[in-house]
Amino acid sequence: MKLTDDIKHFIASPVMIIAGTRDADNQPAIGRGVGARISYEDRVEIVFSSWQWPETAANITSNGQVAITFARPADYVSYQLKGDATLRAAEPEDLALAERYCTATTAMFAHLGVEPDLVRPWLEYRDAVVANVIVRELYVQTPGPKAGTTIGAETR
Amino acid sequence: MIRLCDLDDCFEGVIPSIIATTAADGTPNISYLSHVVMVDDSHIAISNQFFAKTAANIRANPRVTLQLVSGRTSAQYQLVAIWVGSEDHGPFFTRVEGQLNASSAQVGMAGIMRLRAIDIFRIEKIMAVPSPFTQENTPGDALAPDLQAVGRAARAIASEGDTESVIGALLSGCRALGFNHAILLLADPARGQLATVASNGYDRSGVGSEVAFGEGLIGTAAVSGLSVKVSDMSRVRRLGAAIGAGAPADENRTRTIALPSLPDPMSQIAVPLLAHGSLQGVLFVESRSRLAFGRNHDQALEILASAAALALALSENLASQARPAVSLPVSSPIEGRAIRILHHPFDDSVFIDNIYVIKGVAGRLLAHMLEIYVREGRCEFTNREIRATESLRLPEFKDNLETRLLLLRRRMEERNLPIRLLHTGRGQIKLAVDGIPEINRKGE
Repeated sequence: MKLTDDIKHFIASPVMIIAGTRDADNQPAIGRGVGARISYEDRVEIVFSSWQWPETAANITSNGQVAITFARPADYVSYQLKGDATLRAAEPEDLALAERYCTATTAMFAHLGVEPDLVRPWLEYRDAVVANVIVRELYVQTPGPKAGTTIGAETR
Repeated sequence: MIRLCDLDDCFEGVIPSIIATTAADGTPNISYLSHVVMVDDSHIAISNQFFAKTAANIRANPRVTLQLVSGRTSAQYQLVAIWVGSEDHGPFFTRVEGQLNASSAQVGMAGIMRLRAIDIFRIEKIMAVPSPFTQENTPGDALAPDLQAVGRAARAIASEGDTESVIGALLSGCRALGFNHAILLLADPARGQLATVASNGYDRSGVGSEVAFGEGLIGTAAVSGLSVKVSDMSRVRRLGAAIGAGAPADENRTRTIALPSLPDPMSQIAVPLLAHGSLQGVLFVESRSRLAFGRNHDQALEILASAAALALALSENLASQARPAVSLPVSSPIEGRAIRILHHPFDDSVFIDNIYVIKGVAGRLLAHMLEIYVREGRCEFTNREIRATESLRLPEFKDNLETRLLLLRRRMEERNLPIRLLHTGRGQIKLAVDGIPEINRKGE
């Protein structure tokens, strides 16, 4: 499904990125992204550390099913997208994206009164890889009565 | 192996936890959680307020993964867990509900986030997420309170024989443990209110200020009988609108005394004082540091609070039995300038020379004693006779007369009034009047 400009803008801003995947036994795993970009109308790319999140990397390789939530700590505005992902090695521009994301996110947290040292463990991109996600479903996830509302979903 | 009890710092609600689930067809779902509570060594409970998808998924596939983050070090942990069921009542439900109510009330959202049910999970495995930090460069940990100091403070409280000294020992104990901003409020169950009797570490003592049962952290601790805390107020503030501290209003006009407060607290905890299961009051402690109260700090405060609750209940009991050594009415010479006393029977508020003193039962007590003083010239009173005076409409049981009188005495001292109340012995008090009182009852 095509992403709206609002969502495109939100995803590319310093927001927290968390990814849910699952293995062959349907055991979920959690990972954190360190940078996101829109790679095509219906595609999102997420950079993450395969050193820190090996299960996430393995699950994407084996079945590709992924759910990603983007959340802004300042006001808890959140969106969740779901889709099918493929994994590729990180290129220099992906590492540059991760670096920009980490700098902006550290500054965003400092503005909220959270010290850089405390943010550091969430901003790791050692052995970076990139998940390229074809977005199939998109939901509002901001806490409140509208949480879980569908913005769009394609039928498959 | 990492145990659940090692993850203490993760349950402070500072860094949001995460839950990942899958639907029957394997589609993953991932969301942040507002509240995660440790139930026992192998179970946790979550409040899943708004996320219907998570609720549906755990029923299709009970295998979930949670991610908890230490609020102190930011260390991350993944927990493999199995959903074992939902509860909409019981002790765990009450605990999660208390925390939720407290944090909602702090941001003026009381009642909006009503807890319907909690989901309970059995923890199968806990894994530390690789971190760029090594043991050596992990950000600092708060020191646990010294057990020796807790013991000394508890013994000091238990050794005191009257209400005022017990309260003094409790606040000194808090100070000795490094809790430098503390308020003790006593419960008035008949009115559903708690009133400040003493505080430590504030510009104003706030004696006489009130908090309704169920209101904020303090009121929630009173109603639930459980400690409630907030470990990062900045997060609570961001979750809703900022709390307007505002300038204290003119209490002579509003008849409302403001609760003492820090301008920028980060951590707050309210601990109920329970004796024989009945609420004596609430100890409230706050700090400018994030995560100031770890689980061991909670325990230390709870030990002091229960020692104080028992000592207060005992003092109350002993005072009610005491007889005055001299029961003769003593008339003091009535001379000097006129003191204008205004008593509003509708809320029992009392003003002395246009200064607001107090309202409620304490106001009624003060008016009663002043009337006897004016009528009979008597200035000494015993708890026994006050308790027996029907017109005072004292609640029959657990009326906390000693603490009400203490509250009144403190408040009168603080307002620098020409009338003061003196403690002359167990269960005995005396009015010290510097002038000639003229009582005016308004609105009768």
